[in-house]
Amino acid sequence: MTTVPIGAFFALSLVLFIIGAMGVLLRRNAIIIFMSVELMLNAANLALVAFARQWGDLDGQVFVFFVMTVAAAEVAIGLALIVAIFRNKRSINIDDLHQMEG
Amino acid sequence: MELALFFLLALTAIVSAAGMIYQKNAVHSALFLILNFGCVALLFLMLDAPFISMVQIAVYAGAIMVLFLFVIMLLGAEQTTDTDARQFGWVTQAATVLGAAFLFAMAIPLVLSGGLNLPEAPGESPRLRLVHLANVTEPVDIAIGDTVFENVVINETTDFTEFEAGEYDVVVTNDAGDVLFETPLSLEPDQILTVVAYGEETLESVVAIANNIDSTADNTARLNVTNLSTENPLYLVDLGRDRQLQVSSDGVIEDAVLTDAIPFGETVTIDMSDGRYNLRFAEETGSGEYELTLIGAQRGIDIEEATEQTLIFTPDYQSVNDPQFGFRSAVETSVLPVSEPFGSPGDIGGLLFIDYLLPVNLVGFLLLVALVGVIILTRPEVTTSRRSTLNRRRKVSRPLVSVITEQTGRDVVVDTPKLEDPSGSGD
Repeated sequence: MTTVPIGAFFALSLVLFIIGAMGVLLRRNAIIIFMSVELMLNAANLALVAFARQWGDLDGQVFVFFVMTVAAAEVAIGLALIVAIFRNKRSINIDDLHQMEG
Repeated sequence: MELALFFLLALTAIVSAAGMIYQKNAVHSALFLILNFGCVALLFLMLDAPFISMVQIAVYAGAIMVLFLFVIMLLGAEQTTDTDARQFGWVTQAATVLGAAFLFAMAIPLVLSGGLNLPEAPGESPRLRLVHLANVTEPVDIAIGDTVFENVVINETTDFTEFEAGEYDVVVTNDAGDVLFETPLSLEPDQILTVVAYGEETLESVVAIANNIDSTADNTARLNVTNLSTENPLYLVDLGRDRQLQVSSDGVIEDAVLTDAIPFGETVTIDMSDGRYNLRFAEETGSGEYELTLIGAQRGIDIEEATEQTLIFTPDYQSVNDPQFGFRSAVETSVLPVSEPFGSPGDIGGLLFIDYLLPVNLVGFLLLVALVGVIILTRPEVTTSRRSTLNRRRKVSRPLVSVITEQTGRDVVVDTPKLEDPSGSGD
């Protein structure tokens, strides 16, 4: 059993998640927003693994495995979308992408 | 040490995450994110998740981040335009306020309640076994709560039996129904006890000894040694192959003494390597550190790896008149679980392919769909198909010369043979 209290891992996970959320809200480069989403997913993974350790239950780690797989699929699709948008708009600044509002 | 490592990794993770947000250059952002993923992978290792840690490095820091860097380079989007005035300026302030509010909303309860008050993992039911080592020749019945072990004879050891945690009364009766001994016993979750009935003349006492039968590091053997005989501190010594105690001028050679001093009624647990030992007990009688007197009989024991043996030192009743005490280790050997670290790839593989087979297949299908989706999304015809067919048709309909002129940027010298003017020739 690790000597670091589980709360420390949870606090770190919280901080990383909030940094990721701030990145999504503050940045306008679509790729960096996407990287921030990855950071948030990773923070959630850290919390899951920490709790799996706390309860001695491997299901948490299995869940992290699924999150990682879904994240890989999501990254592939997301980057393809960004490439397609860049072809059309010649920009990946999300402030330029507001044709929906008319 | 571990705490210092954690804080170092946590600090690096937070700094690199913040660096990812504040870098103007998207490539630098991606590199900071790789550093962050590496730190989190090391934290996974600290949390006994080696498989997840390796997947984190291979999939996240490897595949996904390479994909990110590739797209950044492909689009030439290294320099971001975030420095320009923002069209929706209020978003920045709102995001900062929201982030701070969220942090405080989570942090204040954490601080006020003094950390996470997580419930502990539920313990397993306590288990106990009985050992009859008292000088009573007729069989006795030993009742623990409603469970009765019948006709227990001297030197008998029962199997481990599971009990609910709680308070019990241990009652020892003989065949005639006379109560020989009665004592309360409280069982707590996760406890593994050996309940020893012992006594030199009759059944004088019943004690519960905690047994440590968790797996040992490196699968070494374990001895639980209990002193139920002598008031003097007791030591377990290994006489070695020649079965002689190596005595130097100031006492016993230290290597031969396996245990610390065992006071009366206490148990000492030692982990030791496997092999053959010639064990004997020694009593501390003098005032010096190693003024030991060997007592009891010598006993050769083969100790195998990943096993536990409980040695209980009790008076020897067969020679009660003899001041020499006997050496009784009547308790059977129990096999320790082979130590396998928590979260080993084998465990996770078993879970994934037995308990979670359907989700694993669904996720694989999802990845296949994602692959097809990426191919469709990045097909060049998706965005430019109509325009390119129009262009092609127009180009074909134009005369060849104008196309060449358009492409080369200068007029083509076309040598067309000039026909003689038929009207001029007639003059």
